[in-house]
Amino acid sequence: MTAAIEVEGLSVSFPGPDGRQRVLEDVGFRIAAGEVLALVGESGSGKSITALACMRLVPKPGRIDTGRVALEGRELLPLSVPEMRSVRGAGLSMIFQEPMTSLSPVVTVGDQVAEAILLHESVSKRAARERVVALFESVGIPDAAARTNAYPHQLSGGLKQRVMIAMALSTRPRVLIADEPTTALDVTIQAQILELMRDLQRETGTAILLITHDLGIVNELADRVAVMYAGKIVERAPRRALLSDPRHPYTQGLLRSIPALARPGERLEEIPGVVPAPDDWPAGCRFSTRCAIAFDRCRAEVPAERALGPDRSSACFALEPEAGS
Amino acid sequence: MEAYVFSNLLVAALVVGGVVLARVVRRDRLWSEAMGELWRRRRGSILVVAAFVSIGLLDSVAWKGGSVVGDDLLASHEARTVVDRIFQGAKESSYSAPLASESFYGGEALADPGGHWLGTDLLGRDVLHRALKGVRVALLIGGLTSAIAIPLALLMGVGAGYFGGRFDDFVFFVMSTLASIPSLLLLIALIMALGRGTWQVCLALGITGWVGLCRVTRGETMKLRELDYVQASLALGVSHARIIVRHILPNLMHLVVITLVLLFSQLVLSEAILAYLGIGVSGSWGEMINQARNELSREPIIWWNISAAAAAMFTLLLAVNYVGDALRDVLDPRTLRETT
Amino acid sequence: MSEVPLLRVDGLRTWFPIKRGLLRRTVGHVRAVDGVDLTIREGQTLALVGESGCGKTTVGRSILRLEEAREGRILYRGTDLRTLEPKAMRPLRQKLQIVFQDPMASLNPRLRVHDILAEGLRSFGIGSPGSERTDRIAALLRRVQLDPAAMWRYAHEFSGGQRQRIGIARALAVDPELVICDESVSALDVSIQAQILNLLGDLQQEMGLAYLFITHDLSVVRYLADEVAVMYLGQIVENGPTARIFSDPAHPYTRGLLEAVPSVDPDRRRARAAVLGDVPSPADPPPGCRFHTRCPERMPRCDQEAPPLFEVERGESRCFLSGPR
Repeated sequence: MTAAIEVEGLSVSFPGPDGRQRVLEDVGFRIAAGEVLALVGESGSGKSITALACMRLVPKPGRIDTGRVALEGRELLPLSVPEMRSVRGAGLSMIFQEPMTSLSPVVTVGDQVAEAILLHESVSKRAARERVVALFESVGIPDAAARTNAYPHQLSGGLKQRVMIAMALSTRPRVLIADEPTTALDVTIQAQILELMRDLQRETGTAILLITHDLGIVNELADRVAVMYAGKIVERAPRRALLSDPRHPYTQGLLRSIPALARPGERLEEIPGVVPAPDDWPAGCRFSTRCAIAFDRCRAEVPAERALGPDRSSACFALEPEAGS
Repeated sequence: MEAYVFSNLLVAALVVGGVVLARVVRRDRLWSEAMGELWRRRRGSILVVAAFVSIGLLDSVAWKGGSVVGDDLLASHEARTVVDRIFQGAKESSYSAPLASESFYGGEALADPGGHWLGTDLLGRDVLHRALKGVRVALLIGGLTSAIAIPLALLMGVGAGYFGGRFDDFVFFVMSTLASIPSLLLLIALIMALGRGTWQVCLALGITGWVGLCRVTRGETMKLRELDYVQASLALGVSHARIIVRHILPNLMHLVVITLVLLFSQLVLSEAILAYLGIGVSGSWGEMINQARNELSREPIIWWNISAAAAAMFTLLLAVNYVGDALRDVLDPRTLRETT
Repeated sequence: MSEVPLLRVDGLRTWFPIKRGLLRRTVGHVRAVDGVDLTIREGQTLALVGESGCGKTTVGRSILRLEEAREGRILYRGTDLRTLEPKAMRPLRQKLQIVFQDPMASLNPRLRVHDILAEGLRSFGIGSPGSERTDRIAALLRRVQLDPAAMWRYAHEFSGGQRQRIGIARALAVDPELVICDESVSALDVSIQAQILNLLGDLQQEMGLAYLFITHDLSVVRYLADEVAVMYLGQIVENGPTARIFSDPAHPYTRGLLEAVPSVDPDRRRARAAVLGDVPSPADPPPGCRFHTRCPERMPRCDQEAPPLFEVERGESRCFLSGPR
C-alpha cells in the first residue's frame, strides 16, 4: 500500500566557511495513512530541517542536496514552484511551534483560515466562512462564531494554537507535520491540545509527522518513533518498544536523563559533552565522542542502520548482530 | 591665540585622537571584525571619504610666511594652509572657463593661462581651490555639530530610558516640542539670535538635530535595561553609573556610529539651504552654490562654479551614505552578537 | 539555636500599574503577586511552581528588589529588606543571587567571561584586583566544570549549557547564601538539563546553598526540591513537602498540573486535560476563588467567597474542599 508520505535519502546542506556543510544526512522514513510518526531529537539534531525539507521550505541559502519525498506516491521534489504551492496546505500541511509568529497580526483569524480554504478549493466565500466556524468548533474554541472575528493578539496561546490546527486541517490534508506544537504552551493547555490532536487524528485519519524533543509527548501521540542525532536517524522503533527497551546508547542516555524517572536526591544520569555543531561532526559515528561504550570502529566508520527485529532498527556498531548468527 | 594656531592644534589633537581610537577598536574583537567586514564591502567609498578627509586636514594646517607668487604682499602676511599654498597661481580679475587662457568676458589674457582647471569665479578666484576649501567646511559642519548633538542626545536619551519617571516625561516633552517646530524656521531663528559665525551655525544645527538620535537611544536603553544581564548586575549591587557605562553605552555605540555617519549628509545639506538663505557658513559649498545662482541664467551660461560645488558635495555625500549604509548592515546587533 | 529562617516572605504584593491615554493615567493594576508567604531555610530548596502569568518570576524579582513590591515583608534572617535604603541593601545583595532562564540574554555579549565574573567581585571588593581575582575566577570556572581558559573568550562563543554554567559561576562568585534559579534549566535540552541539575545539586551540598527554584516543570521539581509551593494568578494555592505534593495533592489545580504532564511510561498514557479553558488575565482575576473558572470540582460557593489557605496534613491548600466540613 502506498504510504501517506515517504522520504528517502534526504540530505540538506548550508553554506559554511569551508564550502557547503551538511546539516541532514541520508534521512528516510515512511508514514502509513492514519499513522503518527514522532521524530525525536534535541537542538542540532536536524529534526526541524527535515520537516521544512518535506515542505520544500528550507530557508535559503540551504539546499536539498539529494533524496526524494513522495506524498501518496507523488514525487514532490521535482515539482515546479506553483505545483508545490498547491500541494502545501492541501495535501501536506504544517503547524509550527510559535503560534504568535505564525499568524498574521493584521488579519482576523477567521479570515486567515478562510483564506487557506479558498486558496485550495473553489467554494464561495460564504461556504468557506461556514466551514471556518465548524472547524473552530471542532477544535474546541468556545464561542466559535464570535471568535472568527478576533485578531490573533486577542487570543491566548492555547487558542492561537487551536486556530493553527484548524487552519492546517481545513483543507483535509493527507499528512500533517507538527513541529513542536505544544512547546510554547503551558502544561495544562498542552494537555488540552494533545487530547485535541489525538481525537482529531482518530476522526480524520490524517497521517502525522510529529517533531518534538519531549519523550512524554511521544508517548502520548506517537505510534512509531525515529530518534535523530546530529543530522541522522540513529534508532527506529514502535513507541512502546522504544520507551521500554531503548537500544541505541543515545536513546538510552536521553531516557535516563529525564528527571521524572529519577529518584529524588539521586544524581541524574548525564550524557557528557555537548551536541556537536554541523561543522564539528566527528568522523565515524557522530555520537562516538559522547558515548560510554564507543570503541575504535565507532570513531573510524559511520554505522549504517541495521534491522534489530521486525519494525526496529538502529545505527550502532555495538548492536550489530554477530557475524554468523 | 590666533585662529590658525588654534586650528593647527585642533588638527593635531584630532589625529592623536584618531590613532587612539584605532587602537581601542583593534583591541575589541567585535568592532575590529565589523570594521574589517566594512572595508571588504566598501573599499571604494571608504577611500573616497579618506581622500576628502585628507584634503580637509591639509586645509586645516596653516602658517604665515613662505613663498608667494607674484607681488601679492598681503598674502604673505596671512596664515595660509597647505591647500592654499598649492594654489599659488595668481588671481584673475573675473570669470574664466575651465582650462581657458583668456578671460570669459573680454577675452584678455589670463595671468595663469590653462592653470585654472575648473575656471575662476566672479572675483577671479580659482574654482577648484574654492571647492577644495569647501571640504574642510563640510567636515567641520558635520563634525562640530555631531560633537554637540551626540552627547546631548545620549545624555537625554539614556537618562530618560534608564531612569524613566519624571526625567523621561521631561525629555519626552522637550523632544515632542522640538519635533513640532519646523526645523528650518527654528534654525533661522537660532542663527539670528546667536549670530552668523561657524560655531553658531553648528550649535543651531546641533540643537535641532539631536532629537532623532535621542529617540532611538531612549528606546534602545529601555530595552537594554530589562535584559537579564543588566538585572544580574543590579543584583550584584553594581551602581547605576557603572551599569550605564559598562552595559548600556557599549551596546548603543553601533547606533551612535550609524547615526553619526548618516546625519553627516543631512547636516551638509541643511547648511546648503541656510547658505541659500544667506545665513550659512562662509566658504562652504552651499555658499558657492548660492553665489553662483545667477550665473546659470547668463548667456553664454557659466556652469563651472555651481557644477564644481555640487559635484564635490555630491561625491562626498554619496560616498558617506554608501559607507553608512554598509555600516548599518555590518553593525547589525545580530552580527555583533554572533550565536551558533 | 535560633529558628530564624534564612528567608521569610510575608504577605507580598507586587502590582504593576496599567497606564492608558495621553496623560498616562493609571486605570488598573496587574496583580502579579497578590499576597504570598514563603519560608526557606538554610541549605534547603523551595520550588515555586506555576504556569505562565502566575507571578512566580515576579516573586523572585521582588525578593531581590529588582521589582519593588507595594506591600509585605521580605525578611532575610529577620531583617526586612523592604525597609532598607539602597545603601544598606547593597551588602545584603551579596547573599541573595539569581540565575536567569535565557542563556543567550543573561550574559553581556560584548564582555569577556573574565569581566562578567569579575563584576561581582569588584562590586563587593572581593579579592584584590589583578592576579588574585583572576585566580578566583579560574577556580569558579573549574567549579562549574568549565576550562579556566574560557575566561578570555566572549560569552557568545559558548553553547547554551555552557553559558548557563557561566551564569551560575557569576552568582556563586560573591558567595551567596540563597540563589534564586528563575527557570534556569527550562531553555536547555534534556541531556544538558541533567548536567546542570546535577551541578546545582552538587554545589548545594558543597556550599550549603539554599535555592528558590522557580519553574513550570514538575518533573524537575520532584527531583530537586525539599518543599513545593504552587502558584496560580498571584497567589499560593498549595504548599508542602515534595513527597506529599506528588503523592497526595490537595488542591484541584495541583492535581490538574500533575495529571497534565505526559508520562514516559509506555503503560501510562492519556495525560488528562482536567483543567479546562484558559488562564484569566492577572489584571482582572475572577471573583471568589481565582481558580473556579477552570476547576473541575467547582462548587456554588466558589465564585462568591475567596478561600483562605487551610491547613492540611503537612502543608496548606487554598480550597474549600481542604477546609473543615
